[in-house]
Amino acid sequence: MQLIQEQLGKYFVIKAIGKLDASWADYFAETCLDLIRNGHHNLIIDADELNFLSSAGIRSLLRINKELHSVKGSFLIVHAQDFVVKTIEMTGFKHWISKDFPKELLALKSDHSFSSAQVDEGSFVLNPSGSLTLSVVADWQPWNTVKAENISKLHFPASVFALGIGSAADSPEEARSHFGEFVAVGGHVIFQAPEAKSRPDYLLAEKDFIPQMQAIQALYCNGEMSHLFRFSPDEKNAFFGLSDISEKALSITKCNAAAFVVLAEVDGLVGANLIQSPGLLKNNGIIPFPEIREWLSFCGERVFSGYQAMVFGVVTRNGAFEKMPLLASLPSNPELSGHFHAAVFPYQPLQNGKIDLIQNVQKLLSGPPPQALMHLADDNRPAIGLGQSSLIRGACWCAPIQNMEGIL
Amino acid sequence: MLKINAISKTFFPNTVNEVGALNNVSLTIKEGCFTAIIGTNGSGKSTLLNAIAGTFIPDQGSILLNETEISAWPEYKRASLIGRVFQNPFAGSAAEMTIAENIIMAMRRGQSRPLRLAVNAAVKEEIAEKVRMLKMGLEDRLDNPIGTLSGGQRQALTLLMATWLKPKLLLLDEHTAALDPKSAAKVAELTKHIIEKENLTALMVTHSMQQAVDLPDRIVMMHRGQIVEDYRDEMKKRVRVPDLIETFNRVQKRELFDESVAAMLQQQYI
Repeated sequence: MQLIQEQLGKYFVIKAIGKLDASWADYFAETCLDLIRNGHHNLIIDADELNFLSSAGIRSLLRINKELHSVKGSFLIVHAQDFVVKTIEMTGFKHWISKDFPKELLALKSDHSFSSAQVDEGSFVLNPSGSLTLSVVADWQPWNTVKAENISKLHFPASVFALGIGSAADSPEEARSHFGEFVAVGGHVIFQAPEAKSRPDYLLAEKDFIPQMQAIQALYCNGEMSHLFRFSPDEKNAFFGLSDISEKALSITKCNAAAFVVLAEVDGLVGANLIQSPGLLKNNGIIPFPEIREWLSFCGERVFSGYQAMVFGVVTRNGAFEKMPLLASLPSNPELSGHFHAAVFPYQPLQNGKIDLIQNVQKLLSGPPPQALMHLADDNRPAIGLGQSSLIRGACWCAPIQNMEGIL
Repeated sequence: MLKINAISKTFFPNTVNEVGALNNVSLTIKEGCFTAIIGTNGSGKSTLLNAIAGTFIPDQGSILLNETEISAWPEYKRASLIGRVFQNPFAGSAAEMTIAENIIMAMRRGQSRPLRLAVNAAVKEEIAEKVRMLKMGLEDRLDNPIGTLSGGQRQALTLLMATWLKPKLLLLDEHTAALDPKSAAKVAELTKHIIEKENLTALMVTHSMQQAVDLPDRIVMMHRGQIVEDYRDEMKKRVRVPDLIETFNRVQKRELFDESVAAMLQQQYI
């Protein structure tokens, strides 16, 4: 089987030559699924020279159609020979078949000035008056002992976006041995128990249930996102560093302090997570090497390439707020300070264009469970540093931070 | 039962080539337990097997087999209690001798063996019956030199020979690693079958995560001469290949966490 690929406007045309049978079905499906992953959500199969279609071939078409359906894409088979049309009609997928290309594509085909522009670029204003109020409701500083007054009970309704260190335990005393990183978006909380072997767990907002955490550290934002911007690789950028995304969030919100949620395919993440609860600390002060390895795990290399990350971050341009705790300077862009937590999931494609944050977070959480939760770090060690976390393609919802409350 | 108490071994001590191969390793394996040892290259897996087999004497610590201290026993003396299968399928048998002759040697392990080995009809029938279990058709080729067999057939016979007298302990040192995938799967299946049938206590070094998950009752993971993980009972039943890979990653991540990382995280983990 031979596949000839061509981008035509918003469509991606795959000319399939030969047999789509059991031998080629997986290859064909994987090729198309890769295209979908790369943002091509309007696929057309030109079946003019497709001279056999078996049940395995039909199954591969179903896989492709299912994936496109999940991102609200489109799927057409054009120029199919009679037996292909009959086979597809008999299996109940008549709506895939079209005699010819869509009209706008035919116009493009006749106009050779067409160029393969990015299908999905751009930014969207979601709510011009959208903004967030930031509260630093708990400000435990590593590696001080945790006192009872350091522990705050937090609620996470749908309007809250937050990150920090906490536990889902009921009481502060129960929580003491379970403090680990968490990230909360739209009422859903993903948290990591502080054990080397543990996987992240999550609390989902459902009906009247509002997740709660006992937190010793939290940047807690309440409000509404104002903007959405999409990013995908182009000739200049194969991926986007967290500082680039932070810079864009600040510029698009025209503010010196912003918070954002990113859903994106991962190029590489760099970060650490707790493997022992700070609630068990006996003494104040920096934990020296090598004992620190009993408390923190560091990724050691850029990790989770090809996975899907949900990152929540708070970023400020230096000097935006005096004495703002819990923000670290970003060596990749020394003008910025930030704090970012990422939950990592198996890859799921995102629909192109203007998409809804909460719906997509829910979709992510209804799929396979999260694989990791990391406090992202910007590793600028000379020669051996892993750099900053970077993402390939995705969506970033952001809002200016207009008000500050809590411990400052 | 095998009981290893805090054994250590350093090769080439006080030289530039000094290697701390085993570092205070303790391990107890109950009778009838089949244990896999996994780990990165140079983690000490084979060294541990060799220490048990008596290839060298550890610098410190003790090894007890069925409550008998064997730490000071030479290798040949331990061979009366321990069966071994090596990675090289040609290592456990004599190529010029027939299948039957090789097996008779194994049948008399630990006993004095006369120069002329009697392969009479009764013995041959006994051998054929056991060889038939391999389902390789070798029972009809007992008079063929073992050197004419394929690697997989030879390794299957070596396994049969090593377990013929029901050793107190069976040591398998990557015994499927040099075989083609089909033969490796066959020998792995035979290994599980024989160990279960004979209720053998066995230690198997393997690089195959899938084998480690599928075959044994327990998995011990080694790194830099130490045991870093021990999956047994319910943990072993639950563990899957990705969990083992994750554990490897965790061990390696810890290694990459050096002083420079600690200094960087002082600035970045706030």
